Amino acid sequence: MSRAIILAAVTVFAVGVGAALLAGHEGDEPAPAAAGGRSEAISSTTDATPPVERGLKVRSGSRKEVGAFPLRDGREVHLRTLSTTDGKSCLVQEEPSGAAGFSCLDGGLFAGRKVVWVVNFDGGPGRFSDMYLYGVAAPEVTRVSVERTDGSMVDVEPNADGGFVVESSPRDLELSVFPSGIRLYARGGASLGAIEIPAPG
Amino acid sequence: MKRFATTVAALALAVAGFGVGTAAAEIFRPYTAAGEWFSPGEMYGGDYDWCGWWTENNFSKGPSAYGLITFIDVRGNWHFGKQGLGWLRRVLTSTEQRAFVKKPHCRNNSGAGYQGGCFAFIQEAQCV
Repeated sequence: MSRAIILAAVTVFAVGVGAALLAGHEGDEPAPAAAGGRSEAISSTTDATPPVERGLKVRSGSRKEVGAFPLRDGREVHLRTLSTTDGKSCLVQEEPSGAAGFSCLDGGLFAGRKVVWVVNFDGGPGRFSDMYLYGVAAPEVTRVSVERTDGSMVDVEPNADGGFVVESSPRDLELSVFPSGIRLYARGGASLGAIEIPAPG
Repeated sequence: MKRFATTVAALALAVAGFGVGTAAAEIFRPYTAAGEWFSPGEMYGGDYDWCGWWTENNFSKGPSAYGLITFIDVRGNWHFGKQGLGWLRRVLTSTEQRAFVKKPHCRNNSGAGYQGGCFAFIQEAQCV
């Protein structure tokens, strides 16, 4: 059964890739309403589409800015969320330098979890030159505690839209101290759960 | 449960296949099979971009699957990495970020196995 599913996925994957490549930018074009019979608008993805969102069928009006978070060296991390017409919810990260990426999840950002996070890093393996953990927490989360490999904790309050960034200091990086877990708390200090983070590398 | 995970991962990859309509100058290059099984610690890599520049790295997997992507230079150093759940993407938008010899890399750095697929885009150049 699993083999059949995989075989089907490979076939669909190959057809999808072929179709998209043959069509050039086809995957980035707004879907013609008449063709699909859907009235649901897909945002126009012409020159204004951020490179990080290429290929995503962004649901019109779903982009939500989560905030801009300053880093020690003057950079700013911009976070936003969006959803796609094929059922994904994404946390998008961009820096003005152009460094960007996303984590997209099926079924909603908070389906079965109260936080979505990504560890962004440069350098490695073992020794890193830059690292920050960013994320967005569910509305009921009022405090995020990031556990680190040396046993220390860094507490942060998510902003009004749930966004947060925890940056590793140069000293942390020198000593190879990395995020190792996340604990979530509600107003009043009630625990909402704990998550283990695998070490990078 | 395993069948569900298989379906989710396979569908995610299939959907990703339809989302590759990127800029014409950039070419889609998967570097694992679709629905590849990733045991804990298992990793895959693409080729070095001797004739072009890798511009993007992706790891498509299920929403509960944790993994890592990065680019590796010829000395084995990592650049522009990310680790997290679901479909992970890292794009290199500037010439400064792209212009060094590297290869895309993906890894299951969690303690659980899962299915997924890694793919990247390359901006090809004429080799002399």
